[in-house]
Parts: sequence; C-alpha cells; structure tokens
Amino acid sequence: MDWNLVTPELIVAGTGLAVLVLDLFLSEERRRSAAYLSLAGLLAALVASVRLLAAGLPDGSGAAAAGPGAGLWGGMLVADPFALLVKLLFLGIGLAVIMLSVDFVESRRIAAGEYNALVLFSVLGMMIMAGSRDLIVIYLGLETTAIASYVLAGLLRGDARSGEAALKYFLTGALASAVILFGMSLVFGGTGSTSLTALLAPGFLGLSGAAPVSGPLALAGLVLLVAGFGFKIAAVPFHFWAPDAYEGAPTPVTAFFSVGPKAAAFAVVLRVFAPVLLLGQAGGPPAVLPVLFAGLAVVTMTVGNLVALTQKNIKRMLAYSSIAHAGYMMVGLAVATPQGTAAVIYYLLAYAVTNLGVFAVVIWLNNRGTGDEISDYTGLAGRAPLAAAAMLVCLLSLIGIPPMVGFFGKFYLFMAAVEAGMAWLAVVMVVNSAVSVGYYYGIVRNMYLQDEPAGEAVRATPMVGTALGLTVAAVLALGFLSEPLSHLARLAGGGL
Amino acid sequence: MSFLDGLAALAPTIGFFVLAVIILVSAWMVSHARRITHAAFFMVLVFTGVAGVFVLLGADFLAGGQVLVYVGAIAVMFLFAIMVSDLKEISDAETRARGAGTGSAAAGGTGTRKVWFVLAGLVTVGFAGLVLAALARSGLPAGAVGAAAGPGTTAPIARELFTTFLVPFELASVVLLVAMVGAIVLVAREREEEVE
Amino acid sequence: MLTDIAARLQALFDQVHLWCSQSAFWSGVFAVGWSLFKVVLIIAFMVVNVLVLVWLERKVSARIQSRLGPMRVSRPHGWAQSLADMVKLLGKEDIIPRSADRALFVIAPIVSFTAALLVYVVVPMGPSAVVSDLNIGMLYLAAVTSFTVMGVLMAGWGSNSKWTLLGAMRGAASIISYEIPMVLAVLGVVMLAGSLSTTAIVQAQSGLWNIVLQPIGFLVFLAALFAELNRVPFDMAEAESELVSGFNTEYSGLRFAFFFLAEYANLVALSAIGVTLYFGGWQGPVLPPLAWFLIKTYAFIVLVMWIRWTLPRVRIDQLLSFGWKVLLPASLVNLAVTGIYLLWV
Repeated sequence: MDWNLVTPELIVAGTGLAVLVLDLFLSEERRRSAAYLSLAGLLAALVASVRLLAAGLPDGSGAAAAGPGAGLWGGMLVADPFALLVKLLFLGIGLAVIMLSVDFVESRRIAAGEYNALVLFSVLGMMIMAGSRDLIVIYLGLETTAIASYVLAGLLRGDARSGEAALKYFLTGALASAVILFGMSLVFGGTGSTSLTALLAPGFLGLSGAAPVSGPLALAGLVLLVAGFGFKIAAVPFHFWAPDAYEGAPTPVTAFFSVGPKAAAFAVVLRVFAPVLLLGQAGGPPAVLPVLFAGLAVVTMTVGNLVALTQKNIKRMLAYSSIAHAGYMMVGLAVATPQGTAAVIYYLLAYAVTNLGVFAVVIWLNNRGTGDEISDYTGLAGRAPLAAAAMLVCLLSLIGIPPMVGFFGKFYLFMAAVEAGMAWLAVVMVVNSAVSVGYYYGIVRNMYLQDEPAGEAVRATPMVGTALGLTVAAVLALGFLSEPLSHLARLAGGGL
Repeated sequence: MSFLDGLAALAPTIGFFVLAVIILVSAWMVSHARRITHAAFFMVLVFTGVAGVFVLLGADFLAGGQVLVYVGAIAVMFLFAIMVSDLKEISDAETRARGAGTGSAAAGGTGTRKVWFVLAGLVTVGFAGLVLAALARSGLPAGAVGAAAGPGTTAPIARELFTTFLVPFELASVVLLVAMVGAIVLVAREREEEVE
Repeated sequence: MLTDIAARLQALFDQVHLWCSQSAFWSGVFAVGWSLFKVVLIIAFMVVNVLVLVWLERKVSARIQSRLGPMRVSRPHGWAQSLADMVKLLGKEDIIPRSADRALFVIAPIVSFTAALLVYVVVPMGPSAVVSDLNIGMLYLAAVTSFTVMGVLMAGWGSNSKWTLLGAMRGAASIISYEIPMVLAVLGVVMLAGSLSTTAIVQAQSGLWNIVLQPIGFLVFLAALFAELNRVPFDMAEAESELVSGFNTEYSGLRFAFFFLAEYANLVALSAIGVTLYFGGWQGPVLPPLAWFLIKTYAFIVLVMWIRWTLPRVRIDQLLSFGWKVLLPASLVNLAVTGIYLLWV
C-alpha cells in the first residue's frame, strides 16, 4: 500500500474539505480566499501528479502498475501513466475553471465556498474515475462528479434557466447512471468480478469459438455501458440534454461541463473498452463494439455539426460543437488500434485546452455585460482586440488549422483511421470538419468583418486574463510540442 | 419422493415467484397509479419485495439493510416531499395529466403514443430476450450463485467492506458529503435574505 | 403439578415433531404451524400486556397528578377498567370519512399493528424464549420500525384532513431524525457484544450491564425511544392539545383500537429492547429468566410513563434541532469512545 501514489487525490479531497470549513470563517469581502485556497490545492496536486508521472516514466511503466490488476488496494486504484496523464488534464481543467469563475461567482453572488468545494470534489471524482480498474470505484467517482455537476448547474438560483439546466442534467444524468449500473451489474454477472481485468481473461468475450463462461452477458453489459457513457459524453442520440444544460448553467460551469466530466467519461470509456477492443488483434473480439463506436462517431459528429450551424446563442453553439468533437474522438475508439487510443488521449488534451480558451473569452465578455448571443460578438476586434485574437486562435484550433493543437488532434485520429483501414471514417471526419468551419467562421466574421456599433473597450480581470493567456499559450505550445505529447499519449494508452 | 415432498422442495421457488409477481405488479403500479402517494406506497412494496428476495437468497443482512435504507429512509423522504408539496398543485397536475391524455386522444395523438409504446415494449422485450439467451447459453460463472448461503452474512460482509472494498466504502462517504453539501446549497436560504 | 403439565406438553410436542420430520412436506407444515402458534402467542402476550398497561398508565398518571385514577370498575383499584374500555371501543361505529383515501385509510391500522407485531420476533424473554433469534436481530429491529412510520404516514395522508397530515408529517420527521442517533447508539452495544443477535447481546452482559459501559448511548437511546413511541415530550404525531389527536384523528372503533394496540405494543416491545440492550435482559439471580424479564421491562415502562407525565411537549423545531445537534453528535461520540475502548483498552 503506497500512499504516495494517491497524494494527488488526497490533496484535492483535503482541499475540498478545507474550503468548506474555511468558508464558515470568511467575511463577505474575503470570500475570494476560498478560490485562492482551491487554486493552491489544485496546484499542489498537479505538482504531485507530475512528480509521480516523471518517476514512473523512464522504464515506460507506471510507478505501481506493472501489469493489469496491479495497483493500490488490489487494483481499486491505479496510478499508471494513463491515469496520471488524464489526472494532470483534470487538475488543469480545475485550475482553469476556478480562475475563470472567481469574478463570475463574486458578481452573481454564488456561495463561493460551496462553489469551489463542489468544483474540487467534481475534479476528485474525475480523477478517481480515471484511476481505477474496478467497476464500483468507477461508479462512485462518476457519481461524485455527477452530483457535484448537477448542483453546479443550478447555482444561479434566481435564474429559471439555471434551474432548468440543473433539472435536465440531473434527470438525464440519473438515467445514465441507472443504465451504467445495469450494464455494470451484467458485466459483474458475466465475469463474477467487479474488476475490469476479468473482462480480459483469455477468450472471455469471444462470441465465436469456445466461450468458457458467460461472455454474451458481459457483452450485453458493455453495450449498456456504451449507452450510459454516451449520455455522459453527450453522444448522439444521447445528447439532447446538453444544449439546455450548457445554456442555462453558469458560464464557468458550462466551460467545466464541456471539458471536465466529458473528458472523465472518455477516460473511463478508454479504460473499459480500449483493452477489450485491442483484444481484437489477438483474435476475434466482439465485432459489434467497433461497429457500434463507428456508428456513434458518424452520427454524433454529423448531427452535432449540422445543428451547430443553426445556433444563435454561443453557449448552445459550443454545446453542439462539443457534441461534434465527442464524435471525432469516438473515431479513435472505432478503429480499435493502439494508435487510435493514443489519438483519443491526445485529442482529449487538445480539445480541453482549446475549449477552455473559447470559454475564457466568453466569460471575459460575459463579466463585462456582453450577452451570450453570437450577434453580441459583432465588432469585438475593435472593442477588445486581445479577446478577439485569443478567440480566433482557439476557433482555428477547434476547426483544426495547422499550427494549433487542434490540428494535431485531428491529424492523429485521421492517421489512426487510415492505418486501420477505415479510410471512409477519416473522410467523414474531414467532411465534418469542413462543415464546422461554417459556424466557427460565423463568430470570426462577426468579430473582425462586421461594422462595429460604437462600443467602449472591454478589459479582462486579472484572473480571467491569466487563465486565457495560459490556455492560448497552451493551444499554441502544445501544437509545437505535439511530437513528445503524442509519444506520452501512446505510452499512456499502451499501459491501459 | 412423493408429490407433497416435491411441493415442499419447491417452496423457495414458489416463494420467489410470488415475490416476483408482487414486485412486478407493484412496479407497474408505481408508474401507473393515478395518485402520486399511491405510487410512492407501491414503491415501498417493491422495496419490501426485493428484501424478500434477498431473504430467499440467504442474504439476511442485505435484506435488513434494504428495508432500513429504502423503506425507512428513501421512501419516507419521497412521501415527505409529496406531502410538503402543495396538495392542490399536485391534484391539479394530476387532473391536467389525465386531461392531456384524453385531449391528445381526441386529437388523434394516441396513434403516435401507441407506436412509441409498442417500440419501447419491443426494445425491452428484445433486450430481456438477449440477456436471457446469453444466460441460457453460458450460465453464470461458478460461485456467483448460492455463495451467500450459510448462517449469518454480517461478519463476512463487514470483513469484505473494510478490507477489499475499503476504497469504495470511503469513496461512498465522499459521494454522500457532496450530495449533502449540494442539497443544502441549493435549498438553503441565502445569507442576504436571512439578514433582511 | 405445573412442571408435570409442562413435561407432558413437551413430550407431546416432541412426538409431533418427530412424526412430522419424516417427510419434507409435513416438516414444512409443522414449521408453518409452529410459526402460526408463535404468532398467536405473541398477539396474546401483546393484548394482555396492553390491557395491563392502559390501566397502569392511568394509575401512574393519577399518582403523579395526586388523583386516584379509575377505581370503580371492579376492585381493587378498578383493575377491569381496560376491559371496559375495550368493550366500549369495539362497540363504536366504524366511520370512514367520505373524502378519505379509502385504500390507505383501511390499510394504515393494519400496517401499524403488523409493524408492532414484527418487533416481538427478536425480543428475548429467556435463554431460549425468543421467537426467532435472528443473526441480524438489531438490524431487523431497525428495519421493522420503518414500517411504523409507513403506518403513520398512510393514516395521516389517507384521512385527508389537515390535523392528520400535520401529525403524520411531524411524526415522520421526528422518527426519521431520531432513528439515526438511536441506531448509532445501539451500535455501541452491538460492538460490545460483537453480534447483532439480541440473545448474544443479553449473554454478553452476564458480568456487567451495558448501562454502566454505555451511559451516553443509553441516554440517546432513551431520548430516541420517546420519538419512536410518539410519547410526550416528543409526541409530535399526536399532540392532542394542538392537532386534536394527530395522525389518527379520523379513526374510530376497531380501526382506532388497532392504532391504540400498536402504540402500547410498541411501548412494551421497545422497553423490552431497552432492557435487553442496557439492563442485562432476562439475566438475574434466583428468579426464573421470564420473571426477571417482566420485572425489568415493567420497571422500564414505568420510567417511560413517569417521564411522559412529568415533562411538557417540546416544539417540532426544538425537537429536530435537539435530535440533529445534540443526540446525533452524542451518539457519534459514544460510538467513537466505544471503538477506542474496544481497540486499545
């Protein structure tokens, strides 16, 4: 039992509790301290994760995960490179979201202590989801994140749309949890174990040939898991809650939803399915799974992009854009190769960083009274040239234009699809990217090419400005660092 | 073995089917009872029936826990929520719901509703068939069934809970804490309001 | 003479048992019949005790209020008063209000009565005089008391009257608030005995009663007991000076009798459980176990009555904040201390 390996989780949990307690003793003017404490905690956890990752890397395996099933407390928690890498991502997301929300929380009179604590616990849940090979622990992490998210969506108490967002998110989320639990119970029934490694027993899931035990039952469970996590990552046809939840939730929370819980759900999907899918090469995996993922990928990206074209509200548009990006990522699962897995991990990082940048601009303007309609961005280049430029960089990255990180994300997915002999999927992806230019360009045109109504300059607050600067820098830098990063992603994916 | 003895041997099976019928009928009533309180009380019956199934499986601790948590806490919370709600509002909503049903029927909406109903039924039956087929094909892994038999499951459960499943056990407390903080922050009066 | 009859009965029982055990079917029939016999026995025990208790309660309250209490129905001290009461209740008209929710209204008293009945299953009246010594005895007890709340809620809602609804909701709020500290307090005893079985808990106290080891736990248990039993100072569900008669306001005749019976039956059962948990149950010198059990239980009941007739009723908000802010932390402290004691002392 190496406590060292769970220091990031312990730090985040401890900080969450400390924030709750600290909030009791803070006067009204000093509520920001809760956010500062949260930031400090997340930073400390980030450092701890980096140290663990660095310690585990040289020999190419995680510090504790020598093989499947190894880890803490009999595989209940694992600290392999994959877990550590996505934990870094989650901690980064947490940092960005808290930085983006400090002013928002203050100006909308949201309870600061509870808000920050909920974000921290949500991040904790995500870290646990990513760092476990046990169905029960994964489910508990999922619920920690989900419950905190439902509440975060409804924190604007005077706002009916916020309540609507919370309720819709809660109802669909509860349904998704039920489906996931049902799926898990079938997997458990089929394997007799809550550990994911049981799925990998030789020939277990092979439908053809000698299936020694109840592979079909576990397979039915896995299909249900796909549906349940489909809700969580807002894949079509399980996406209908996302636009309303994204629109109604407080904007920093929307930023969090669009990257955090989604990335965590993807991490679990990778954790559960990547090894199962890779079995394919060893000899006959359930052929239904890659087909399922391919179908979901095509439908999700197409519907997401087409509907996004018609949106007037930027938060709704970003919701559909986020659906479309989930579709791209599922391509990496459909191809069922190590390259595909690595590409999904890379894309998760790329998408999170870029989308946080976009939301940083939206929050910057929102704090200064600009509305959430796309038409409100008319002439932004004149009023806030920096914001407009940052937005431009991020949108280009979302489209997938070369030097930005988004390009490399799509590139690796594309290559993975081509190499796996699924060129048609790659083509669908490219066509979809072309469609997406339509709505991303709409914002760019409004910002730069429309005559501006006379408006005064909008300046960013230090916190939002810093967060935006960091994300934009990351969008650019990670693009240039794509080679080492993708190496890391391959390494992480390989250890799954 | 005489017929009567065979009957005695079948007693657990008969018990199971009686419970199954109770659970299924109650579950159906939960979603179809005309009054929301009745639905809640039928839910109590479902929970109790499930506890009965646990008893048949020899999982006495689970049965007790099931009743204590689901009947004693969750169902009471449901009923409590229903009862603190505005009674008139509930009955109005119930009337509206019924009115809407007949209204859409008059407008020819039953056609689509029927299609959805049939579709949902087909999917459900299909999936149930799939699971049953899978079960019939392969059976359950050895040790999954009947492992619970034997006197007293409390100590083994406790041992597992505090050794193998210690991490989930502790995590569950985090989940509950988050839910509690969340519930309070959503419904508690704001500080400003209290001052005024 | 008496032992002779007992021996003959025992012999008869053994013979029947032996004959039945030859076939699976007949042993099943025997098991069912034996269980039914036990149920009848419990009901008889319940009814007799309730009749005594109603009289006792009137006498105790009279004593506390410097009155005589019932004196006229038979001598000495009007002992047949309860019988007269019973006859009166059974003769009353059975009314179901027109606006009531018939199904719930009718089922509620049965649920309450059954819940009270089920508690007796694990009450140990002697070394082997327990209906069923369940492994999960105390958990079973906590689970079964959940149904008491159901009965109260059904009655309160089903009567469709504001008094009953208010009574039911207050009752439910107080019961669920007090069930948590009660269970936590009981856990301390369970930890000391190392078992959930009520018989094992009694046996674990052969040296020292738990009241000595668990004084905080006992006080928490006692306080929660009043909420579970709906008795003053925590009689939120009835509160006759505010809510007419609380959740059972609309009931009359036989249906009311069921609630009445259930209430006193619960008093006996929970007092017996209190004795089991904290006062060594049926253990004691010289006298037979059953005698000790009855003596202790009745002493406990008198204590409960004494408190009831001494204290005023608290307000619902006082009740709830006392439960959550005093009893719950106290029970947690008790649990922690017990754990430390068991681990390191």
